[in-house]
Amino acid sequence: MPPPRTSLSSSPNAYPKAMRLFWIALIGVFVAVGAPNVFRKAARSRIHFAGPFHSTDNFLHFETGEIDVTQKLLALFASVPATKKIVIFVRGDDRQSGVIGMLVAYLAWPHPARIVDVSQPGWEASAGEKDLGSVGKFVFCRVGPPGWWPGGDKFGETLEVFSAPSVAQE
Amino acid sequence: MNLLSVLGACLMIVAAGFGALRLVGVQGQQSHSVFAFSWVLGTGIVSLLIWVLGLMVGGALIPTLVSICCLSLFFWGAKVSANRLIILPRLSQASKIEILLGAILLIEIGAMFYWSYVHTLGLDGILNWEIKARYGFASNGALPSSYFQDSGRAFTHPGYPLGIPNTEMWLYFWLGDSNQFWAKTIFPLFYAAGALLLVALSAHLIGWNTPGLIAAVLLFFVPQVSVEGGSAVVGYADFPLGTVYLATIGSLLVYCRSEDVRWFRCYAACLALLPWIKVEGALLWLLAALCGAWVIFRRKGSSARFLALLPGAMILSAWHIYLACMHTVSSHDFLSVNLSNLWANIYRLGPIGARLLEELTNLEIWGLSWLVFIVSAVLAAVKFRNLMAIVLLTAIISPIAVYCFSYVLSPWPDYLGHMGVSISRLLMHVAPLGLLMTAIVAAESWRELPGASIASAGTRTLD
Repeated sequence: MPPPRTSLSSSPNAYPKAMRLFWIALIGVFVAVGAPNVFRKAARSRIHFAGPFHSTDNFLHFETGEIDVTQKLLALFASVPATKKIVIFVRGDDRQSGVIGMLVAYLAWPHPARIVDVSQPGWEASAGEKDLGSVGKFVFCRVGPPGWWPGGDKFGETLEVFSAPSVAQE
Repeated sequence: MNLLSVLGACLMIVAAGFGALRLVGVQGQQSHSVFAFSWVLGTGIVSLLIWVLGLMVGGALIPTLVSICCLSLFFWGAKVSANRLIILPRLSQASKIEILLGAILLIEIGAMFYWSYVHTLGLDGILNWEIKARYGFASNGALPSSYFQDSGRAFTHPGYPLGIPNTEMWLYFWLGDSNQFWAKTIFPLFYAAGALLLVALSAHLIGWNTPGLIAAVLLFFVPQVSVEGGSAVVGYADFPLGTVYLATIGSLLVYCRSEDVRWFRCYAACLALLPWIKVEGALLWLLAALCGAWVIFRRKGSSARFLALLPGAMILSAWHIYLACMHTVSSHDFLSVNLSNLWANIYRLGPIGARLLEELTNLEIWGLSWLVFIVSAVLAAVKFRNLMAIVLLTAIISPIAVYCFSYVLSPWPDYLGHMGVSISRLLMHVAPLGLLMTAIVAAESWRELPGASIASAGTRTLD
């Protein structure tokens, strides 16, 4: 049901033609200013990896240069019991490292996740696992693993996953 | 097959919203108005049902019961009155300019669907919102307590409400698996609902389609809405919240204008959903509720209408009780509100104001929109000295003021950096309402010209 069609304004419009021109000009400039930016940015969008992991695959491909990283990480995490923790090492002063770490934590479900920022002083104490048996995997995101650790599953140069039992054996 | 499943899920949402819309009494509307309000109400109903049912049952029983509720609402709503279910637009009654604008709008909505599918979910879209849908789906339809208590995932803000995640989860139920690609479907639908609400509300407020159509077309040319980080298609909750806020305040304005109590009920229904979409929705709920209370007071309406403010308060309280019961890990986004913190940081107000000005005049992000909104606000304040203008201006200006003030209590040492990463998205909550205001004010500029006044535009109204 439409409202009664009376004017909303309490005062008459003194310069209707001028106002009309003003609004037409304003709308024209509105489109002229917005459109180039909209179309320029829209033209950059390209579809890659259309699948159930469309977004994480794209992000991890960008970060590691590899494809299907999501499925590979899920398979690695699925190989350890769900109660085991996933410990993720990142550098807080490196945004990309933090992003990869958060994506890994996202994919690590249903495992408990723990993100350790190695740029923070005293991180070794906070990362120190008294019971290595509670950890399923160690993940290094743009952080170099200890040199004496056995080889892990590498994804490009930026992401490496280690199995906790094999680390414990070393 | 996936496309059909997604279509089925979306139709069920619209069916539930349609029933609710008929039950609040808003009937006999044009098809675009019905779709827009049905989508807004339907997403709220479905996501709330999934949450409530998830507390009691699990697995396939949740989608089954939600589907039964949606269909029941649809048939109940369809039977509640003899009015036609929807009115399809008649091209013979539309002017050439309206047909042209309508065609452009359809192309724009199509482009938003395309961009949503070619674009990834944004990081917050994955890590704050889709994550809850994915984990909930993997846990039989309800987020397990271990998620709320996992300090290692505190960065995903477990306390954020479930309006968007549960709508995504609804799609997962229909797809049979979590799927980041199809989950994005709901976001261009929110965009379509927002644009169509601009058309429908403008028509109700000014009795003329063209200004609302122009406003809806212009929405696409706001880069922050269509293509920038945090835009309407990257899986963030900000544009959906802006759409629900537009529906809420728009319904209240139509009530102010028409005194038709059905629109007050529609306002109350949309109002209740605000705190369910995003944390900032609680603030928008409070401000919109104050606007509603002011309207009831000024119109000397029945005090029973204050009850309309209750559903939102109940949803907000229920969600916080639930979070407390789950022992949810907190993520401290802001310092606690006390005099010492305020006094220690009050010096920030000046730089925050300057940063806001910089944001509003950033043509790359906002184009000319804020300049247009400011011009419209000044004209609205000067020309419409009435209750509607007060409600409209309060609903736009007060959230911006509160958002800016909140950075006084930012825990970030670089509080302007904090503001820089979030203010664009927060401003999207009121941007659609700004366009509605512009449509109303611009329409008034025509009224004195012969043959172009709103009063003479009767044949071109929506209904």
